[in-house]
Amino acid sequence: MRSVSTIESERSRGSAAGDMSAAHLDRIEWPLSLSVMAYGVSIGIRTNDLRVTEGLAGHLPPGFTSAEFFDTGRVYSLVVEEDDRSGRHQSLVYVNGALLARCSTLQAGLRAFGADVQLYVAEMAPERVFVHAGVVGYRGRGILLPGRSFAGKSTLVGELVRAGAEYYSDEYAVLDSAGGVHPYPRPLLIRNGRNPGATKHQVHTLSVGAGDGPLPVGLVVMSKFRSGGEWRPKRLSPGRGALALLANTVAARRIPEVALATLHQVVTRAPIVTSERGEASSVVGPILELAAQA
Amino acid sequence: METYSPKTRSTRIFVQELPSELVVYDVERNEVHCLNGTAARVWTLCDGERTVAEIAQQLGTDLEPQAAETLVWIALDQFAEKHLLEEASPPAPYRPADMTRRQMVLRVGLIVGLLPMVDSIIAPPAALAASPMPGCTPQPTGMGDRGCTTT
Repeated sequence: MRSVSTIESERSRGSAAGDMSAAHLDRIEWPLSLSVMAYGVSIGIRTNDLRVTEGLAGHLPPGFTSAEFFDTGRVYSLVVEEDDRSGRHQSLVYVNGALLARCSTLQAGLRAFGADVQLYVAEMAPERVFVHAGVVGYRGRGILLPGRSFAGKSTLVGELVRAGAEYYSDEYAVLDSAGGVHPYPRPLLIRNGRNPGATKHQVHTLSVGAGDGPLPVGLVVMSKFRSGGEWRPKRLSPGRGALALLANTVAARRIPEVALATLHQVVTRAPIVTSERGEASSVVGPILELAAQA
Repeated sequence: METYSPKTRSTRIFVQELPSELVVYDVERNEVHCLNGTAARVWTLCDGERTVAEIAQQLGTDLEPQAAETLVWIALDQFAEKHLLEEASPPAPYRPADMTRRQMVLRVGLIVGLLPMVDSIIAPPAALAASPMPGCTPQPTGMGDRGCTTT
């Protein structure tokens, strides 16, 4: 295991980050290496610290399968190193030899790794279109709650699940070519506070059974939290709804034609409403009512 | 101007038809446009053969010919602004009598439901979802716009 001070001295000599990283990684031993496949996308993972294995699965996309390590074209290297002087550990996350993140704890490193892996899979999945959205099932149909990080979608999903909806996802709506939404059942995580620096915590009390099959989309709710915001839903036209969904589609630029065709299946079948909202608990009833009418 | 036959772009774009709208994805600029009913009808008629007057005639509105032509010009004005016409530079003067779009709208008589509208967004890069990750310092990877991301 190499020391932080050594890495920093290499950096200070002005070598290119990528070159330095590649040379650095070549000298490391990897007691664990494996390949993982999810949604038709393969990645390689290796680490120099077996403690990584304890938390690894929780940061991978749901439903992943693993196999022996092979060159997948995208390899993550999770390196845990000790600072010679302070004795503290830091974790470094590399992608194909380039340093992605330098994190102060192993857990933070795993979160950085997991976030990038999940985003990569969402972008590259060959047969699915991933939209940033919370998803619940209700009366046999999916309710999509598009929104990026810090839009409060996990909180809203949590409240809907408490009210009886079925948990599908708090991060991605995974759409097939017919417009059906599939579960992405990673543990429901709710951020401890609204500031961007706040970490997310798993809500054990909501460890309910997740939906186990695709649902037709019955309602799309574009909402944004504002303290004291009033729920006044306005229906969007299918075209404007498509724009709103595309603005949250991970692979919009990579596969625009596929994304548009998939979203077409959604917007021509499900009403799309938009509104600001106050606390999540105050809009659960109206949303479920809308879904029941749709 | 009377012989101007506008042509909408057909290359480097994807068009998705909806019941009464069009969604147009501009691959060159990663811009996405939603054309409402009137704009969509004008779009489909802009084949480089029909003149503005002919397009206006075939729009199927009950408007006077001059008002219908104004509707077409309002649509063309937006297409040009959003780089959706084949012509790099539309013929000058592009607007009749150098009218502003507002003036053209007033000329049609504020028939709001008939006005062509083009709403646009920029398609997000995949890593737009990236947000600060507590405890981590993102590093420039030279691998596109991916950084230290969170969900």
